[in-house]
Amino acid sequence: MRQHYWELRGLGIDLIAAANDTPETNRDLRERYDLPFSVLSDENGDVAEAYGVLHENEPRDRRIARVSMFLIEPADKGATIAWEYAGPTSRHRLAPSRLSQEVQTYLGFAHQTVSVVVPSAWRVENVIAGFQDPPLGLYRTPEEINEPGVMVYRDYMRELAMQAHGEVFRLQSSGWTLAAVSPEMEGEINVGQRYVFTRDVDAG
Amino acid sequence: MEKIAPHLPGPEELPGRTSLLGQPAPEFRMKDEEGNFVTLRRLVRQRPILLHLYRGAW
Repeated sequence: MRQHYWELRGLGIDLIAAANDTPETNRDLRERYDLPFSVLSDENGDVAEAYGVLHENEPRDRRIARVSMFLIEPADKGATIAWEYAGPTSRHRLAPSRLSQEVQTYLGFAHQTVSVVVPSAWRVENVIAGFQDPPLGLYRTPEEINEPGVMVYRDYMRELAMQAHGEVFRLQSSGWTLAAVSPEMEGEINVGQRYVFTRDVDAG
Repeated sequence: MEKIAPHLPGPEELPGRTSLLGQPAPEFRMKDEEGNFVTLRRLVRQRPILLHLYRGAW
């Protein structure tokens, strides 16, 4: 979401996040990840319901939202939804490149630029290993190996990497031109490749 | 400004949901991290916002 924030900020749009958590939880979340945007408390999932994205099949007694995004613009009276994305589950995120594309289209940009970072395989496995508790290599019982939190992170990281590959394919096959490929650096470490795509949209 | 290309829902999106595209955004009032109430009306006064709803840290 941090990448989303800075891209949107550059386009003059404020990012606001909300979930069914208490203000205390959200404050901890913001401090822990040093988030530059506000996280609001949708207690009871009422906002998720109003926007039609409540997760109906939630096994636990929580009213949570499917992953969704709404671009809301000021209108004469109140506000209007200018663009929306409603994921099929609470975990299907929208690729940052797709969000960037949609927002640039909304803003009427004739020349559009988006980029996709495809993490290298070792980077993905490294991040997954970092999520392991206890760390990889320590003795684990079969019950611990099946502990849900670890599995979710592992699958999630692989999903993000697959999504990045999918985005490169989608952009290549839908009229975007590959303008540049550059190594993505974190300090002096190459953690993947950044693919930059451009397209010119006929405004007529 | 006129839209250049309309958004086409992808196959990955929630099926059977009624789109809110072009509709008035439902007003809301939520607490921020400090427990102060924030309303949509206040948020969009200056500029467009992107509201991101997610599952939360349960």
